[in-house]
Amino acid sequence: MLYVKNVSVTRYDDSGKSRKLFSGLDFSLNDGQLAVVLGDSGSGKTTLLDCIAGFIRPSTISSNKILKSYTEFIGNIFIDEQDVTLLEPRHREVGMVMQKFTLYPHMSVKGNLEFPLKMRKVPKELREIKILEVAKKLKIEDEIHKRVETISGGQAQRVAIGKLILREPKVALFDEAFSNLDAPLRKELRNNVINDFLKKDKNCVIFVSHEVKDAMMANIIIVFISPEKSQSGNGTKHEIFTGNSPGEAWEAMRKSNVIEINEYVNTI
Amino acid sequence: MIINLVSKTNSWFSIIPAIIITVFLLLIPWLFVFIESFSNGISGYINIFSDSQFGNSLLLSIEYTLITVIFQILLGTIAAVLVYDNGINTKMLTVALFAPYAIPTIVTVVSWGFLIEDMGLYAYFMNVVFRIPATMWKNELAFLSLCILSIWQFYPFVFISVLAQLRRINPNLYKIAQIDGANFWEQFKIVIFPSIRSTLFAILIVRIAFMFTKFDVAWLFAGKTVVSGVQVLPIYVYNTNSSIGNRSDGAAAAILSALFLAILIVIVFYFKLLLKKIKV
Amino acid sequence: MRNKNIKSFILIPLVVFNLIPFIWLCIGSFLPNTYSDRGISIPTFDRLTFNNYFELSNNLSFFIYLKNTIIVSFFSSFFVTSASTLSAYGLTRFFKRYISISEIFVIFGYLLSPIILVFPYAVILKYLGLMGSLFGLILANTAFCFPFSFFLMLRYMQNISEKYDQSASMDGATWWQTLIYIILPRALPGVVAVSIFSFILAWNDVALSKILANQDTMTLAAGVKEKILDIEQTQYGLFAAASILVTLIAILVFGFMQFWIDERLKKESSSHI
Repeated sequence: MLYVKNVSVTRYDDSGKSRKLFSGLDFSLNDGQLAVVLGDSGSGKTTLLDCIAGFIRPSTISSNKILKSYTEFIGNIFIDEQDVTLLEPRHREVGMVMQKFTLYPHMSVKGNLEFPLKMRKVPKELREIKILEVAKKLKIEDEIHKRVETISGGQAQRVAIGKLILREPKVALFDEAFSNLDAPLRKELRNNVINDFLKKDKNCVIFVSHEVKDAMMANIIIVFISPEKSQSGNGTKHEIFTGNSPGEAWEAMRKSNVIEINEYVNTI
Repeated sequence: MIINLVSKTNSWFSIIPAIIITVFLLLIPWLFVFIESFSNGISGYINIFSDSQFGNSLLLSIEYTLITVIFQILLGTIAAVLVYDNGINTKMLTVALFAPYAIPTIVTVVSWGFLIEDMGLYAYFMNVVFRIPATMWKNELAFLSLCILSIWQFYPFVFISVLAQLRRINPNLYKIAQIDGANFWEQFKIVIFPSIRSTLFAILIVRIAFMFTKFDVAWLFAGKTVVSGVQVLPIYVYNTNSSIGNRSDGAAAAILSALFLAILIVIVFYFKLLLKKIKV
Repeated sequence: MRNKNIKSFILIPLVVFNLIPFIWLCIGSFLPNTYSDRGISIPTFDRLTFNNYFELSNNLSFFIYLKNTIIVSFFSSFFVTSASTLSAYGLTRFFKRYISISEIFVIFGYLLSPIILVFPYAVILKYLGLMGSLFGLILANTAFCFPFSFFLMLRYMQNISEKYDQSASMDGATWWQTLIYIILPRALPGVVAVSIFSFILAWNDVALSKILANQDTMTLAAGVKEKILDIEQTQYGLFAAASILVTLIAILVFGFMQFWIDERLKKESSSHI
């Protein structure tokens, strides 16, 4: 279970200008539920994931490498009722699949899958078993010994998902993970893999996307709306739509007054 | 919370070796020389400034640095560009082109010495073809010989650095440029030059620093007979420090040579800024 | 692209130009030690001899110097490489605020050439009782090579995406584990370049060795100069043989490493697409 309690993130840049990425974000996600985050690029979707993963924490100086910017985090995050706000990513039980960079290019598929197990200090024989299990489940057992550079995009993302599963997290984060795959593949991965995840393993899943259709399956939809070219402190607004069944949140979103969503909806 | 603190302290470990090296192996000797140079009040500096040899050496060093650096960069870049799109046998070629840099200075200097002496290959060749007497290379033309030798020895540094940078260019950019109808020179301007520009600038600074302070080459070249045409600043510093004179003189010479190098580098940076402003 | 003929037209003479001194020395090393053999004389087969090499292999000092040089080069390269890689990683991940300050320090480092370093080192090492020791030589060489190597590694580390660190963090790795398993393999070309650079610098050094080493700890380059070149009746054949050996070892080391970098770079560039 995940509880994001009243979280606000503000970014201060070199010249002291501040930009509120979001403020007062408050929602909770039960086991087996899916949240989808929608919004334009740069609107703060990735930042939300970064907060939950633990890359942004209170008094962390997340400084940009060129500007000496500073990110301020206010609020709390609870996973399974434990306050993890101050914990580092590796101590939270969170996993993430990104669009790129989730896989380590210099290792084989097996090496990548093995890594989270190694870090969890799983003994070697058990590692082998788990890797095979996951590979079969994700239909990549033929690719195990291949180098990561030689497999296709779809296969790579399956491997990334495999890594996530082997990490056995309580919260699974997907940051535009399927964005550069083609539609059928995206649909298949989204429906089969993620649903499997939710139903069988009872994790919370947060899925970031710029495709509105992805939100149809969600229990909670979080929409970030960036005001046009806002340079004052106002920053991004957000709206949260919830429902008990996936369809309800989607209906609520469609009926709301959020202009951007209506534009998207019209194109479906 | 305890876990948080532990790994934060941990990350300090990564920079401790560097700090140790910087403080104990670099900063302290620096301070040492600095303090030493003032051990006799300002007389150290006054002595150096009033020594005409200092001025001569300084000028010679500036000439030496500028000439060698420019040609090292030209030669190295040309070689890198040529090797880059030569698919065959790049490894052997690269090793062969890198060779001069890997050879100890003592070896290169002495072997060049052989080549430009009376019956040496180069001297003989230049004598027969251009009527240049062989004896000139180590006397009147000593500075020229030194420059050529230095360019030869160190251009591979530029070659390797530029080559490494070239290899990071996305090969698709070439295809696009070709489809757009660009010839070689245009391809160079659009694809190659932009990606090596910043590398070249860094190389420029590094080469200037290294050539201005290069002691071995000139010293070994001058050998037992001190040929006056090649007494660059580092040699002057060495002489001043090893002679039985005031310790503060030697230290002052060292500080001053570092100071002038710093000025040289600042000037180069200034030029770069100037060029940026002109372009914009 | 470029016409292959034009390329060969420039490259081949360049390679030859590069290798002539070496070839010249090679020939000279097989000739007896007479003065006249330094110039253009046709080396007829009956005059070719391995004598110079025999003399060298019988000369114990040569091997002592070789041993010294290997130790000094290896250790200073090791210290420089590990310190610069570690700190470049640490700075680009944890201490980004201090990157610009350290770049200024790098420039200060450049200003410290061997010639300026030697004299204070001589005094300090004497005081510490380390004068003439291999350790002192290692320290001096490390100091000289460090600024530039740090500069190189900093650039390299900056170009490795931090998202990999994030992934590794997600997988449960500490920063040390991330560095070893994930980042280092990607930074390999830079690491190899830095280690070669500092190795060669220490290998070829004459100035530091001459002043800071004693008879037992002298390195090859300085030793060749002192024992062979500076004596009254300079034996050029012997010098040539010694030079060839010293150079060959250095080139072998470099050639091997370069081979390795080539492979890694090719792999890297294809994975960026």
